[in-house]
Amino acid sequence: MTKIRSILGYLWAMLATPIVILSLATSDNLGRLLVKSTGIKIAPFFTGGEIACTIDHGTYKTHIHESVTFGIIKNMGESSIQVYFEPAAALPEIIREELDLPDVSSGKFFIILDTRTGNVEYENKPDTVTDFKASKFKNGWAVRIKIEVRNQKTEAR
Amino acid sequence: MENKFRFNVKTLLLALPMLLMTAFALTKGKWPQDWHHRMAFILTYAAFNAAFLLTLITGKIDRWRLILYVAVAFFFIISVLGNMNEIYGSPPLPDFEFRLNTPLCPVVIPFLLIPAALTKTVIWPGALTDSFASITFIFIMWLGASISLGRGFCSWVCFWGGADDLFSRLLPKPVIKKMPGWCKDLPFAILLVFVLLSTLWLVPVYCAWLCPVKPLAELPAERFVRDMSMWGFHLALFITIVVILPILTKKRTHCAYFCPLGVLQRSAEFINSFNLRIDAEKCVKCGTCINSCNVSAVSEELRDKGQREKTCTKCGRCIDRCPTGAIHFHVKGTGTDSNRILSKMLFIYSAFGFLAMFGGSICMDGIYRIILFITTGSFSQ
Ligand code: SF4
Ligand code: SF4
Ligand code: SF4
Repeated sequence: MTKIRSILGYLWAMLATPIVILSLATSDNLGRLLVKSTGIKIAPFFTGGEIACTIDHGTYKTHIHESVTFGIIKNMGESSIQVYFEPAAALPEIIREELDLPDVSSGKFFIILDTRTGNVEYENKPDTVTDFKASKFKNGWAVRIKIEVRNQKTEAR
Repeated sequence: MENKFRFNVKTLLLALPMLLMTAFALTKGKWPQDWHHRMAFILTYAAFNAAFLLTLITGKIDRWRLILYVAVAFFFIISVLGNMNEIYGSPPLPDFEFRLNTPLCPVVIPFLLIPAALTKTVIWPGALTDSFASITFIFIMWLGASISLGRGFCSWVCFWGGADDLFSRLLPKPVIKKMPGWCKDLPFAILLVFVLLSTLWLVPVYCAWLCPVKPLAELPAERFVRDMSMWGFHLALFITIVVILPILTKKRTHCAYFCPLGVLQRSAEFINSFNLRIDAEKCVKCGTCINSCNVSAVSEELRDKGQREKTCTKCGRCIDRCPTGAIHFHVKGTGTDSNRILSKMLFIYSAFGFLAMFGGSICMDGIYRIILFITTGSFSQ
């Protein structure tokens, strides 16, 4: 018994170096396989979530994403809607985009993004909209609109 | 001494697999195209293999490991800042939630696991594959390191550990002799609380709020005033936990008493095949091992039982220092009369292999960026 344990121990220890080599050498392929087989994705909090609709302005496009709720416990705080403008090179200096947020706004709600400064302003902001953030990406501009969750799903058009 | 090898053909043959492994890992099978990369490769390759040869010839493990491990920590900072610059352009970085392709830090892995199982999403602003330190690359690397080295991850693989390992060696004697007892439980508490918070909020809260090593890898983000104060807080944590306390206590305070991944690495000891044994017959109870261990893994009680705690990072320092050669690497399952040289070589090959292949590629990128900076004035292409 002691001898078997000893042989198994050495065998397992001998596998340590091959495991090291395999984990480093195959990580790219293994990684792709892992993603494919599990269907795992990056959390929508970072990606902005799936695109709900796209508005074509001719020279540039506006992608409005689905609303993303934070946290495992729904209604924990806020949800957010990402609006993405691309391509960066074709964007006007001032973008004025109408957003239809059916559950939160009564009138026409506009966001105004200054692509020179990243400054965001709004018109007819509903009470439930709590914050804006804008960020420049290599290929465009993203604006995140934070919405207070009030027990109902909020989606842009 | 049984521990050492003479410098001869046999020893060179013993080092040959390491020469081949590192050559392949650092070049990915292709000779570097431009002279910046060639230079970085030659320097890295020579340094790591010279250190391996010296480990064999001198019989000292920690002495050579420490030099390389600290180098990895240093070049990692240059490498990651250069890569961040390539991904996002010059600082400031975009707000945390607007980031994509951020390299994954292994320390956040414990906080990603439950949310991934529950939501099938990774709560990290990185790329899943095909990117510098992509999520799957770091995850698979961490898994491989945990299986083959257990908590040895924390002295041979993790690019953060070099900082407090170095600072814990600066003074000849500790100014603060003993850490309070509750410190040992602190990393467990941090792990539990932040796993819970990350699962509830689906955001890596530890990274955003508490991580002391964060300021080394990223500069303040867009919302300057708020982020400067947050960044300042992280920096204060870094200076306290990773610099001042390790100097004063001669302990790796971040790794022994704070880091949540370090706790997880202890559980990897159950599947890993190597541990350390103290030969009671050879031990003269001088206490050198207890005093020299910078993660408090040896106590008098454990030493007398011939064991050490699961917090042991297998750095090899106590082995190097023990005056009677009583401490040695041991393959679990084998008896007390097991072959010490074989056990040591099996461990050293996997640990050094990881350090040279993973850490080596970090050093190579860091050296490349320094050469680039000297010749072009920029750390990135
Ligand atoms: S304790 Fe944490 S920071 Fe330290 S070496 Fe281990 S994983 Fe890295
Ligand atoms: S250093 Fe060696 S001899 Fe001294 S107490 Fe530790 S095991 Fe015993
Ligand atoms: S017990 Fe020895 S090998 Fe383990 S961490 Fe302490 S000094 Fe390093």
